[in-house]
Amino acid sequence: MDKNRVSVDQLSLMYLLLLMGGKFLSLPSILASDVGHDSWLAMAFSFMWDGVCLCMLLWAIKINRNAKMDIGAILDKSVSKPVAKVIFVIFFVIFVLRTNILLASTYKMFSVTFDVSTNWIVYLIPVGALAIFAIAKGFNAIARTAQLFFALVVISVIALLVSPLSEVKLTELLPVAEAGWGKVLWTSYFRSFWFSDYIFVYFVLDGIKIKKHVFAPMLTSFAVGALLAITLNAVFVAIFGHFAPDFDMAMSKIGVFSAASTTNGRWDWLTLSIWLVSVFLKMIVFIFCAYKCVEKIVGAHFVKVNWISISVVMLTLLLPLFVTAEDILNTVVKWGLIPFTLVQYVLPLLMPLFTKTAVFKSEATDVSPRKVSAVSAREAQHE
Amino acid sequence: MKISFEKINALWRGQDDFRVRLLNCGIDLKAVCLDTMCDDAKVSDFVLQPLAYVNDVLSIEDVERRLAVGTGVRKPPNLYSAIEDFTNGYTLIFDGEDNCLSVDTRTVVGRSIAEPPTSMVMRGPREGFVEDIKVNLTLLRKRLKTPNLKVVNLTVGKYTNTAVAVCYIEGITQQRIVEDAVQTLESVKVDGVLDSSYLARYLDVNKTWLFRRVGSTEKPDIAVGKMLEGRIAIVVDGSPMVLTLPYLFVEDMQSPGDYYENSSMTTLSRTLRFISVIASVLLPALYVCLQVYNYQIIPLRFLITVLNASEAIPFSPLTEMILVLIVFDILREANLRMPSAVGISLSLVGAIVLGDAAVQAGLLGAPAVMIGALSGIGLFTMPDNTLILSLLRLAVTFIGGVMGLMGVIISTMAIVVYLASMQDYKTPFLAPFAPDIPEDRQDSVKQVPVPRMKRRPKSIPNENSQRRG
Amino acid sequence: MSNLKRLFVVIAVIAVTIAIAGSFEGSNVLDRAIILGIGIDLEENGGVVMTCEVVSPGNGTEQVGTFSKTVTVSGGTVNVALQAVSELTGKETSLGQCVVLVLGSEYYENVDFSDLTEYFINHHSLKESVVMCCCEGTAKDLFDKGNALAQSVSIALSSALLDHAEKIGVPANNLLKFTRSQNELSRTGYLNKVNFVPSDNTDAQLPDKTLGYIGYREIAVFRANRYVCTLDRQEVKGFSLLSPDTVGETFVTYLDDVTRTLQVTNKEVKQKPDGKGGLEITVGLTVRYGRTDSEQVSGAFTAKNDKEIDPKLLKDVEEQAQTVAEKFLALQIERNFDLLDFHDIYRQKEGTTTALVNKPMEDFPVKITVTVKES
Repeated sequence: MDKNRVSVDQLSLMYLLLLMGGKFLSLPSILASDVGHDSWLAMAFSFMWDGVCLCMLLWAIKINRNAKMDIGAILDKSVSKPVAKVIFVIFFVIFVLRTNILLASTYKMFSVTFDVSTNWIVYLIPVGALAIFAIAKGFNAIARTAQLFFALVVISVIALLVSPLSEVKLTELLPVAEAGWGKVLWTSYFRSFWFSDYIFVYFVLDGIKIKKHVFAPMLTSFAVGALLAITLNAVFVAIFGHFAPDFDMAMSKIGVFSAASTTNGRWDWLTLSIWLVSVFLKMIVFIFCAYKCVEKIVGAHFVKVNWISISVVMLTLLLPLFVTAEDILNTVVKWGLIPFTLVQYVLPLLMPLFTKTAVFKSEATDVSPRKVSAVSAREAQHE
Repeated sequence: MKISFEKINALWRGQDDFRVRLLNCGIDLKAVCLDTMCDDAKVSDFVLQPLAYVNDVLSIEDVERRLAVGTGVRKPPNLYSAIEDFTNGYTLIFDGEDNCLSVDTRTVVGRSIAEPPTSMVMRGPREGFVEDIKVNLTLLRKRLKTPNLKVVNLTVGKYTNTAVAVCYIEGITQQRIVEDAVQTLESVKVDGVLDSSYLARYLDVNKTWLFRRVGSTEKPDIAVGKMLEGRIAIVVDGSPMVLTLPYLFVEDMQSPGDYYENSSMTTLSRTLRFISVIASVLLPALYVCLQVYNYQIIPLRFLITVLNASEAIPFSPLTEMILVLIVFDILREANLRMPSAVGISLSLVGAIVLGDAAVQAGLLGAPAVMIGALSGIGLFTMPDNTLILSLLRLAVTFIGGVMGLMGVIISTMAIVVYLASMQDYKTPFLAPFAPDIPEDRQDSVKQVPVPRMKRRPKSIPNENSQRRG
Repeated sequence: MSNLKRLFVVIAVIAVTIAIAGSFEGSNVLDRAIILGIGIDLEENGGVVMTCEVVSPGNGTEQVGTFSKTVTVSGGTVNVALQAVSELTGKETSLGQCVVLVLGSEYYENVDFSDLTEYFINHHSLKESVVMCCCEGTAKDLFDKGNALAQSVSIALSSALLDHAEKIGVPANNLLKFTRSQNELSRTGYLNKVNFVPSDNTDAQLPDKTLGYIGYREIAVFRANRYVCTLDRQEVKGFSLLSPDTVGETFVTYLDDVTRTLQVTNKEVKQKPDGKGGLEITVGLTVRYGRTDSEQVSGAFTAKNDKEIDPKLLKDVEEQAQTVAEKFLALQIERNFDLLDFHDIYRQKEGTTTALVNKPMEDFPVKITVTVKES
């Protein structure tokens, strides 16, 4: 069995978790400091753009349905090898940076909210070990883990969302676009680094098992995830108003009004811990993708875990030892905005075209692409 | 290798229970048997009497005809099978030309069929497997009166020559699973098989060291139920535990009685088992890490109780909890090994002396003892995996105590990733949850009424998904 | 070699485990001074005197009033004072279970406490939802009344204000709402003013012991973290009537010389701009005969008979409500504070502008309509 194979259902559940994981750490306060109570609008715009790109990517998956080519083969055949390598380098940087930001945010959350004080390396060891273990077990195991935790995470997010509702006055969000549409749009573009979670799909392109639908489950996940993210953001801003930019751990604060009685304790932090599963899952997926990028850059195909490549990825996660997360966001991410946007938002638009070209070329030259071994119908039912 | 009396004689000569009888009934015959393995009456009725006082026997075929009164008479194809028969209690008859017949004269030694102590039920059949493979196969056949019940017979163990039967229902079980299992069993190189659990280690394809990968049951109704879902049953001589393959994690949460109760009651009790297992593994860890890191989560009034209870405790919360868990494990282990009469007093000593006195003496806090005990009891709802879960509980508690909630989350995720990655005989271990198989949720935690279970579980590969027809 | 390798792996795993275990620092809950409530008073030289109610384990199981003790320290700032608490208790102070913040009268009447609210709102462990109030006299005196109340002062205060106040017609406030009100738009907000109400001691054994309860029917108004004034009972009632979150206000009416008490069981308050810079407020009250055992639940306990309320009584309630509401609105204009967020109504339309922020209350002419119906 190919351990990286994944069904569309699993992919969509995982996508939903990825959409929710990580977006409620420091992003809400950053957006609030940019555009105040219009942050939900900025988020909505980012998601709209995400939706368009996702559709195009899904179209590419449909085209790739029978050929089952991986992203490396598609790019090699459509845009030439050197360009493909450049794209993978950019992807690598994105994944590494996003993992670093996630790691730094959770590190902060653990130390500030959960009183766990430790140093970066010791913090990284268990997380890294978990990621390596998961990569060794394969993407399929990660997807199944996502499937198992999915319901719990969604319920915990909804519980966190519902509990402060009595305190929320949504009129706080009025007037709409007080910061100005231009500023909202610019923020949405400028903070696009946090979005486009679908990019992980590129790296499992060759292992996607399609039974019936591709668009329906993925777009449903997207809609639910985006809705939850926007609502949580809106609720956060509505509760904290003037102070929203100061609270950079949105998720740990949002349930503060949930304790109906004085002596109930912060049960919302337990639900928060369940939600943290999705954050760790997101880190694992991003580390997996970064590892795959290394594989594509060096042009190899690792069957077992390649310790050199995984060590390279792990070493890059030591970045916050030298640069703070804020500095990463304010410098590297700022400089890389254009190349990042190219792979995050332009590449998906061109993916159907690239995939078509690659499929056509591979058929024409009769060089069979790297195919996943034929799957019996019985097996397909299992996933 | 050719069969001959001399070879058998050479192998067993000098043993007290090795008996040789010379018969003349037309030609000279030698009958040999192991006295300890044979039933004297059977030897007399099926071998000696038919051949006594006759003198018209001219060949071994004539002997075979004469012995037709016996139930099992056959010609062993080679020396090995002759030796196997001989050691099993068959009587071998040789003519002068090294032709051989083996006659079933085995003695029946073993306990009678009774209700197995490990899986008692309120309602439902009370028969349990015994140590004799023949009786066990009878119990299976009794419930599956169909020509489709097929049995593949094997012998495993260099010295024990244990009979192993792989049973399945043709037309339901996927042939590949049978082939895989038979192949695995044939490749087993071992001195002896004393119980089916020896073979379970070999049947676990991925050699996972945590969690059981092969199911076992002591009840024929359960074994048949599993076979009807497409599994195979492996009966091993000398073991009342019948193995079933492939095995799912969720099976451990299904109790034998579930199918004889109301389905909503079953759903409720399975939900309780599910919750108690999760709570058992996580509760001690949460208790420790909430005390060490996140006291804010604990409801204030409970926090005050905890503070008052643990003020005088000389240990840190982590040490205290680990101590409680280890004491509990020791008590359980001692209880298992003690004769039942002593066991009761041991439980009393454990509960009263260790629990109450430790709290009174200020060694352990009452909440910690309570949580340890609750978690310990909760684990028993999953009997097959109790030990491994208790080990995991210790590990998660330690990690939680050291790293706080982060440790609990990471270790839980690692366990789940590990479980999710397991897949033997084309069956994902965590099915029907991960991967999600909606059709199979009818008999997982939830159980729909039996009339509505129209299809066999998809998690287990089968050749006929319809339960009827 | 393989044995050596195995040994190496085992040693490495143990070393990493020890390294990880040693690098995570948590503190045992017993090493923390868990603070339940904080009282702030003014020190003579301008600093703060902080009184903390700290959980003090070791008194057996939870018993009324005996599981906590109060610690009073003085220091220039809250942080210094908290450090002093840490010094006295020998434990790390922890605010994660803190349920109430109380400001003493001398402190809030004389000091601009912006830095105090800012400190607390940015304190990572303190809940933003913590109940905040001010008190008559010093906070220390209030916290010392634990024995008189026969329970923890902090828990009594917070459960009264958080769980109960809004059901008997008293708006209550918390740290976040108060701090926001002091920093946004009109920069005015309120705190409940609590006081100790002594009761008669009928205990023959301890005739000198003080006994009593906590009262919280007064409200103090603040602008930009400075004291403005205190609302009397009638004004609080007016404020409560106009706040959408509270219920339970009572009205005493007379019909044919018989006294009838009517209680608000449900309320609908709508504020909308009148198009001329002012506001139209409509208050719809649902009342029924007051019953003491069901103050908070509308209709859970019904009267023994369904006797209808006389329309005259409803009219009387309407007039009384109109009067107290207008009295409160007049005070709002007189002292220029905005507890009902009139500024916010216009912010929703226009956004936050300097003109709006500086708009005085007299520029918000209010037309109020009260309707009363029977439940």
